[in-house]
Amino acid sequence: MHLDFQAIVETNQDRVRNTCFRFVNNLEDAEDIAQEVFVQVYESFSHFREEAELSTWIYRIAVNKSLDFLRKSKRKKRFGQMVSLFGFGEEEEEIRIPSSSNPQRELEDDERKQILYMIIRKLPENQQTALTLSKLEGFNNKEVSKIMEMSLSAVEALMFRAKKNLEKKLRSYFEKEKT
Amino acid sequence: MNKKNTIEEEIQKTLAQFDNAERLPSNPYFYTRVKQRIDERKKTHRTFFAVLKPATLALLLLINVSTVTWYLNGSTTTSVDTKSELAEILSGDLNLEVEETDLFNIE
Repeated sequence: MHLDFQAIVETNQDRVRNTCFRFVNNLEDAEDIAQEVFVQVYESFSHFREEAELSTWIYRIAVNKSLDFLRKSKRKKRFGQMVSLFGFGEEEEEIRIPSSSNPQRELEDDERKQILYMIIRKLPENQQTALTLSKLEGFNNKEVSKIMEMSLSAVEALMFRAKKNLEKKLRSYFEKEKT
Repeated sequence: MNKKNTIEEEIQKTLAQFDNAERLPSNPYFYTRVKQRIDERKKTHRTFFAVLKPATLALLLLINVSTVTWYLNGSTTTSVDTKSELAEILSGDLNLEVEETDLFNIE
């Protein structure tokens, strides 16, 4: 298969960058991960099975790299908390405000967005992935099923559970806020 | 009741933010950065193998030379010129009597 790498990058970069950003919620990290996604695409293009769609394969790499990044961050955070427990270092802040904050947006909506992203990050990994791809990146369930390598019915069930779980967590968050 | 309604309203407003998720501004230098990363990796890879290849070859050569030297110097085989010498050595090793040694002297 001929590799027009520049065309592949230019066609998919926006969606890959945005997908990574939805997971990590930080512009610099998202850019870094997105670049790594395309480096991997370049390096492992020979492993790409032609029966799969190229874009699906690229978004799958993007999701996996973003989740890897989050796992590493969690480990780092846990280590940081352990260190601060013994009186060294400072605790990392819970919510990371995206570097690309738009000043024109209303403060209230921005706050709600941050709450939404924070709660999504507290969901189990597969629910988080399904919600991010579907509700934030606009992939339909069929596309999500291909990216996540699951059946369509499994994705539908997963989406249902994810929405319920998200509402439950939001409810408990606001109940705590109001008390 | 009022508190419950307020919470439900907050939840709905928060969920509505799914539709307001802003897109990242496009990055015109993205491809250049990716290409730069790939080139850097290739360069590092090449440098690594440029050093590793001669070093591996030198090591293999050294192993070969030392194996041959060890083989030639450390050889414990005894050279035997005649059949009678061979019979003598074998009878010594096997503790044979003189008449049994004759068994080796097959003409």
